[in-house]
Amino acid sequence: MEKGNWYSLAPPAMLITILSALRSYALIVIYFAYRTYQRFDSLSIFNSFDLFIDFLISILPAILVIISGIMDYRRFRYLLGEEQLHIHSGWLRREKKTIPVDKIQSVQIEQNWLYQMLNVYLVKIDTIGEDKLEVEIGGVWEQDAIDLKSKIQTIKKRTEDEHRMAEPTEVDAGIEYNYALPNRLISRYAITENMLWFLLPLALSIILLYRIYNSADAGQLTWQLLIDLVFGNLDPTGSSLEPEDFSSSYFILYGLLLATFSSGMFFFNKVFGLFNYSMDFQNHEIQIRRGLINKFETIVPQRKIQFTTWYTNFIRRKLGIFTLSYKYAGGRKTLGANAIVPFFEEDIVDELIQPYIYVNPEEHCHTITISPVYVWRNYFLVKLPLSIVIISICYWIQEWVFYLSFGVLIYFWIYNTLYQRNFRMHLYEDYFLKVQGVWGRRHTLVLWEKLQKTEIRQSPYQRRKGLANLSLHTAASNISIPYINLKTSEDIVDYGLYRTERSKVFLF
Amino acid sequence: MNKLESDHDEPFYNNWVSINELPRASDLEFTPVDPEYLYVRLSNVLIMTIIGGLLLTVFILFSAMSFIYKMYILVGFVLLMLLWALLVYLEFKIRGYAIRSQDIVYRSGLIFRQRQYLPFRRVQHCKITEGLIERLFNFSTVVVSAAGDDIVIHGLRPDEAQNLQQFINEKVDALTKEMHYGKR
Repeated sequence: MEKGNWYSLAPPAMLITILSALRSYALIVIYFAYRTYQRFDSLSIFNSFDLFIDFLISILPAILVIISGIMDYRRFRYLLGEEQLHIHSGWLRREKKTIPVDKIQSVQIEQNWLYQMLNVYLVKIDTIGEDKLEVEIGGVWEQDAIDLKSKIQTIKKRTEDEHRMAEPTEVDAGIEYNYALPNRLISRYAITENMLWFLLPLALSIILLYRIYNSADAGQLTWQLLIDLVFGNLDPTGSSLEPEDFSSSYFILYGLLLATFSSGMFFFNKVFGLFNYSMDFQNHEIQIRRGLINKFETIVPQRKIQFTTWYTNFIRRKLGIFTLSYKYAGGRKTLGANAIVPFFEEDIVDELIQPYIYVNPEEHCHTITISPVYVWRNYFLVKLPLSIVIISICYWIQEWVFYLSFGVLIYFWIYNTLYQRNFRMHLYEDYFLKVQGVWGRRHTLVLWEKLQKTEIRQSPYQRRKGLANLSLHTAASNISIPYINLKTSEDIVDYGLYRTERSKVFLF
Repeated sequence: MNKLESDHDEPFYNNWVSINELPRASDLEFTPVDPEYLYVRLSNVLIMTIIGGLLLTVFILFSAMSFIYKMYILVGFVLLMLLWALLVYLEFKIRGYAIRSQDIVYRSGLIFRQRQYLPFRRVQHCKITEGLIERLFNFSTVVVSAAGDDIVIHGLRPDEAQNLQQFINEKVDALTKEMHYGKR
C-alpha cells in the first residue's frame, strides 16, 4: 500500500447522502402521505393496524437507506498515491478499489444546486470502457477537488511524457488519405436507409385511424375529417358509438403518432447528418466532417479504433451500397462509439480500412466455419420458441394472419441454414476477419492485440460433440462465434492472448 | 467438422508462430475455491428460500385455492429450492481460477461451462468487494476489470484477496511501464 494521507468526504456530504436517500424514496413517502390523507378523518397509525403496516413498509426502508447513507459517508476514504488512486467505500457491501492513475481517462469537477448550497464539489473520475461512472467522490471542499484533479493530471502527464520519451518520436506522419462523397450518392444511400421503425408505427396509426373512422360512422373522408379524427373532434350525432369508447384507441393512436414522429425525426437527423460528407486521414487521426443543417465533426485518433466493420443489407447489396464503421473506444461516453463511412464500391474497402490496418490482399489465411448442427440446435432452442410466441400473437389478431404466421417456421429454417452457410472466420497473422449475414453481409475486422478478454462457453451438448461458443471482447464491442470446434476456439484464444500479451502499444 | 480437424494436421496459422509452442490455456491447473465458501453460496439460497417462502405463504393464505393446490405449490417451491441448492453444490466443484505470469483465467458454470481469460496487459483496475454474508464467513471477492468486461473471483480469504490485488497492481504497473504510444 502506498504511503500518503487518506482523505474523507467533507461533512456537508452527509446531508447530500441523506437528501438523495430521501429523494429516492420520495414517491413512497408521497404515496404514504396520500394514503394517510385519505383516511385522515377516522384513522391514524395508532388505531389502525393496516395503516401501521403501511407506515412500516413505507418508512422503514427510507430510514434504513438514510442510515446506510450516513454509514457510507463515514466509510468513504480515498488516497491518491504516486501511481494509484485507492478508494475504500461501502458499509454493508465494502469495496476497496485501486485504479492506476495512467488508466484514468477523465476527471470532472461538478456542482449542482445542492452542492452549490452546501459549497462542496462532486468529482467524477472515469476510466475507459465502462458503461457507468467508475468513481464518484460526492462532496469534497473546493480546494480538495482542485488539488485532486491537478495532482491526477500532473501524474498522468508525467507518466505519459515518460512513455513518449522512452519511444523515439515517430517522424513519419503516417499515410494520408482523403475521401469525400457527393450529395447525389448520399441521397442514394439515404433512400435505401432502413425505414422499418418509421414505417411500422406509421402504418399501424393509419390502420387505427381507419378503424376509428369506420366505427365513427362518419361521412366522406376529407382532410378536415382526418384532422378531426386525430384530435378527437368527432360529432357524436350519427355516431354508433359512445365518445368514451374511443379513449383507449386514442391512447394507442397518440402513442403510435408519437413513435412515428420521433422515429421520423431520428431518421431525418441521421440522413441529413450525412450530407456534405468528407473524411481526411492524416497524422494518425481520422477527421470526419458532415451535416447539412447541423454540422458534425468527429476526430478519432488512430490508436483508439478498436475494430472496423462494414455491412450491407439485401437491397443495398444488390445496389452496391455499403456502410463502414470505425468502432472506437472513448468519445462522448467512455463506451464504444461509431464513426460511419458510406461507400459504393466494395473494392475500396481496403483503402478505407487503412487507418486501422494495411491489408495485404495476397496474404494466406486460415478459414474456419461453424458446425452444421448450429442450424437445428439454434432452430429448436431459439427460433422455435420465438415462432410459437409469434404464432400465438397472430392467433389473436385474425384468422388468415394466424395461418400465414406458420410461414415463420420455414423462414427461420432457411434463415439458420443461410446463416451457417455464409458464416466464415478468416484468421490472418495480425488480424481476424469475421464474415456473416443471411440476406445482407457484415464483415468485422479485428487486430489480435485489440482483444480485452476472451471467453469459451460450452453447453452439455457442445461438450459431448467437442464444440464451443467463443466470445472475443474488445473495448468497443463483443464478437461472438457460435458452434466452432473446441480445439480451434482454444487455438484462437491462445493466439489472441499471445498477441495481446506481446503488444506494447496503448489502445486508448 | 472433419474438414477442420484435418486442417489441424498441417501447421496452423501459417508460419508466424508455432502454435504448439504457445502456452496452452486449456492445460491449466485451476485452483479450486475454498471449500468453506460453499456455505456463503448456500446461505444465499437459504435467504432466498426464506424470503420467497414467506411471500408465497402470504399469497397462499389469502388465495381461494383448494388445500391440495396450496400444498402442491408449497412442495413445488421447496423442491425447486432444493434443486437450486443441489446445482449450487455441484457447480461449486467446477469453480476455479488460475493465475499465470501474463493472464488470469476463471472457470465456472455447471450446465454451461465457461472459461474466461483476461491478460494483465489489458487490466484497467482491480477491486475487492465484501458483501454482508461474505464478511460473516470471512471471505472477499476480487473483481479484475478490463475495458468492457470483468472477471469476478469469489471465495478468497481477505488476505489472499489483498495479496492477489497487490500482485495484479504490481504486474499491471510493470507492464504499463514498458508500453508506449505509437501506431503498432
